[in-house]
Amino acid sequence: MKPILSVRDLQKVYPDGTKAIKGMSFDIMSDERVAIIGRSGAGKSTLLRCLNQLIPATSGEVTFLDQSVTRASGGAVRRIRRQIGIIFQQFHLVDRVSVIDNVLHGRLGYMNALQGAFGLYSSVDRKRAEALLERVGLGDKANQRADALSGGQQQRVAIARACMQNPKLMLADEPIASLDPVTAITIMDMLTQLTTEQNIPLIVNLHQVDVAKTYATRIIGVRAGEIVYDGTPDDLTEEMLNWIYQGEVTQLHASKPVLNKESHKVVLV
Amino acid sequence: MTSKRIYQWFIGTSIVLFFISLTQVDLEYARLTTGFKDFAEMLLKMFPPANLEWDRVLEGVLESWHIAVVGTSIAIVISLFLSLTAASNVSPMKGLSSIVKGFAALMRVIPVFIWALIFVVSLGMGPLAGIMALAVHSLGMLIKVYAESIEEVKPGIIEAMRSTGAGWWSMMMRGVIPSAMTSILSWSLFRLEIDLRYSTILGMVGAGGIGLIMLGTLRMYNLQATLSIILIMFAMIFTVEFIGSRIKARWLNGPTKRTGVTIG
Repeated sequence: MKPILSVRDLQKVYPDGTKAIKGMSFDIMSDERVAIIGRSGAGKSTLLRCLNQLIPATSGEVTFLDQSVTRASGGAVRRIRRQIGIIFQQFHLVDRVSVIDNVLHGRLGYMNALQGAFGLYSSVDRKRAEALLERVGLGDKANQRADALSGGQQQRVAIARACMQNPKLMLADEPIASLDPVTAITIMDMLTQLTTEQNIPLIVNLHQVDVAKTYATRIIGVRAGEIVYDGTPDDLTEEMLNWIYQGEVTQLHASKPVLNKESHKVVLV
Repeated sequence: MTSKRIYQWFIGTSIVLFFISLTQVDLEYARLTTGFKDFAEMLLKMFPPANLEWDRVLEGVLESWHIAVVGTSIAIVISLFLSLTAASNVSPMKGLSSIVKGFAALMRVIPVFIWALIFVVSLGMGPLAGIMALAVHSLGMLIKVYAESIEEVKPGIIEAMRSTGAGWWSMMMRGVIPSAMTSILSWSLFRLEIDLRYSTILGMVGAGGIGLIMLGTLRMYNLQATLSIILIMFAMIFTVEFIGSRIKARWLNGPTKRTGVTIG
């Protein structure tokens, strides 16, 4: 099986000289759910943004579906980006427009300048957007302004927007860091279910080790711009965690959430 | 130096500068006395305000306001586009931002009356010169304030739209402009208010509207009619300011005030 995404010796040096990523390499297969864990400032966010060139890499190679992301420019970058959904910590919806319009923004990458600028979405897209809102449980909020929604609801809209892109890869940058623990579980469930259904890989930056262990099939531990662990959640030892977090392990719950494999629901034990 | 000492220096320099300037402009003090007499006589001649040809005056009032609305509208449309190239966070090309901002500054520092004179000379007397003068001067301000509003749009919103693969036009029209819309709207209203006031008096340099009628009465030394027109201008400007402040109170503070009352 060929990897969906392949990263080779990726490096990122910011103009101020900060070495955010010091040579990372890994492959992502279509059935993987990867959690990237590490302290703030370890380079997780930069790494995720290099994968779709929101931040240009300094050197190294990112290949997505046989296309080079790092060497793409102009229209090619846009064609790559539209196939990669991304969820942000602060949701980043356009506050002043309706929820349904925010979901439809996921189609802008597939439209020409005129259609996009005037929001001339096809009826197929509109139906799809409504269905996706229904799917994330916000069917009744379609015509409300995005900023009228709670944080958890806004994140669900952001997930619907990303799914609207028909992505071949889903990225999430700290998707639950601004949410309360119960809402966080719903969001993680939703991301897991939607990506599993569409058979696309999910790469998620996480702060909370327990959540990472519960949801991910593979964990990549990042420390000071380098990959220090790449393996299954079960093999992740206390020692390794202490090494990654330099003694400051973050937990979401005092009690432990466990994924019920049949229902895909998480229960607190 | 203590602050008291700076203060003394400041006062001292101001007084010296005042006297230097006064001697340099070389005033004829004798004219001050005769001039006061002439001025008082002229004021007396203005009373009582004369009856006017009201249909012509009404036409002038309406023309002034039409000049303002058309001039401001043209400025809004052009500025909206140019501010997207001027706002440093979304400008499509490096360097373009400072070029457009420089152009806007140039349009802005040339006073609206100079613009009116330039257009009266090049386009002839009448409303077209007024429209052009207001449009050009207004876009100098609107480009600047629109660009500042756009620069305040949360970077995350722009990043999220870029990540969907959206093109520049889609990002601007679907994400950036809607996010900056509230301040764009209030700046546009604010500018319309300014232009409505300018258009009243712009005609005095020949740029159409009620001012142009006053220019005519002044030239014919019809001082009583001139006073009537001055009173009408005062009423026009007062009306614009009054309505403007009402709109601002209602639109910008109204909703919060009202909910405050119902809840509390």
